[in-house]
Amino acid sequence: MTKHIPIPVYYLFSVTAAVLIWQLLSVTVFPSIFFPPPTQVAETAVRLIENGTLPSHIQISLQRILLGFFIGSLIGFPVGLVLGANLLVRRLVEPFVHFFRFVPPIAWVSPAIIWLGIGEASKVALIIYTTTFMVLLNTLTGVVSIDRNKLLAARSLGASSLQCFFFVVFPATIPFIFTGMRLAMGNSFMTVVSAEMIAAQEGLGYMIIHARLFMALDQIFVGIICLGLLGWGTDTVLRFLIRRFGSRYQPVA
Amino acid sequence: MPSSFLHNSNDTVLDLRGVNKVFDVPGRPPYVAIEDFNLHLAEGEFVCLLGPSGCGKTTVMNMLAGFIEPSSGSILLDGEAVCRPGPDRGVIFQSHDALFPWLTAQENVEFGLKMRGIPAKVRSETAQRFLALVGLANEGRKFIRELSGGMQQRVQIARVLANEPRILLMDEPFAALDAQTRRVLQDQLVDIWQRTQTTICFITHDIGEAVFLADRVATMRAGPASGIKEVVEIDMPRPRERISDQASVYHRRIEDVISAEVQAALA
Repeated sequence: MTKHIPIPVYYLFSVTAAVLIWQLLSVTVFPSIFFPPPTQVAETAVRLIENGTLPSHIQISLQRILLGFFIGSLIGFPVGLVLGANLLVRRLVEPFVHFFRFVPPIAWVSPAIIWLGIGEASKVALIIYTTTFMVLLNTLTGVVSIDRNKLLAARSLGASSLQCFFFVVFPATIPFIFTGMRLAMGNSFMTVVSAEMIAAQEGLGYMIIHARLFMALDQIFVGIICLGLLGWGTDTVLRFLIRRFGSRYQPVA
Repeated sequence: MPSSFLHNSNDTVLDLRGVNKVFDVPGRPPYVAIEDFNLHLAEGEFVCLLGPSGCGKTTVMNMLAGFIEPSSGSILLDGEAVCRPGPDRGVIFQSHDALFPWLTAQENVEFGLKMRGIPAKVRSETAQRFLALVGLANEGRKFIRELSGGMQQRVQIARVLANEPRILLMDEPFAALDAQTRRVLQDQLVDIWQRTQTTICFITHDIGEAVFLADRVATMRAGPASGIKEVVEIDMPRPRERISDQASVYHRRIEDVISAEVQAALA
């Protein structure tokens, strides 16, 4: 019976219910200027859209994320392949991988700003950093976990080492790369907000931290809702692209 | 019957002479897996290598395939030493994890040809021919995960046959299949073997399978230091019955040969 109802209907139902509860709580149980009801948040959102600040903050944040994400993926993927395929290089680089993966990008905010300035470069560099590691680690895992039999079969079918790399290792790793990219997208959002909160004049992170100065919780909520929707949106696009162009690689998505 | 004719010829395809394989284990005495292993396969012959589990059948297969090198002794294919993997030996693995899931059945079969730079059109025609040979003419566009276990093993067979190997090396290729599918594939394999006249070295631990398939059954001793214990010639006309007086005589005889080895393996 439930299978005839399209999924968005469920989403709409639960979200509407949540917003109604929020509205109810904020006007009856906890009426406070520090807990704005959704109606007020919506009004603020409309105002911020009309005066153009919200669209420009969104645009700036998204631009930073996408640029860093693409550059990071482009670095992480070939480096991960090489690390996975070459034991010597892996042994040499492994200590750095294990060390830096536990250093969150936000720890690098200050050096990034001192070295690269307060402009775009420092934020994009931090997103590149986090994306590179996510994609690299997943690619590496993919290369290392290839069935041995696939490589043996390829060799015995006449493939050279180089052909094994391009025709077996690479395609077998693609699902892992996709997973790494989706995880990296999530991390990119966290990174950009952290960086914008500490040092920026624009972006959603800046908007949220700036609103704190005026205790403008409605504006903070607008920022938070935008982050959630943008993240969900980019992940949906990413998943669609993976399904559309990568279905033969059995993506985990 | 092409097999019985070819069987008597002295044209040796594969020749193993005094093959030893010792594995060095750090901190422990070296493990002698194979000692003085001797076997030869004549052109077009179907030989089953039979032995208790852990006796080193797969070690022998890995040496034949060129995945590992013998510690001493010689493995000759058409008189030339085997030292690396190559398309002249078609290796069929027990599990479908040797297939490439990102390729269709046909693309899997084309893989070896593509590696050798054969033009796409020739590749496609050759692949279709061999897919038809294994009864998968209409499944070429399907991906590996869309095929049943039996079909997947047939894709493996077509994939190596497309390379026109001198010998097929099959390592318990039907062991993971259900009994019904296994019987069907055994029948098809005999059919393919008779049509292509390929030499086959087939590893199994199933006496019934060996008696049904092989011209000769080479039994192995229990490991360590395993080698050939006895080679039993199966002189039964083809097409064969699985259950017949003759088959049970062979079955019992091989059972007698290897039961002592099985006991030793379990001890």
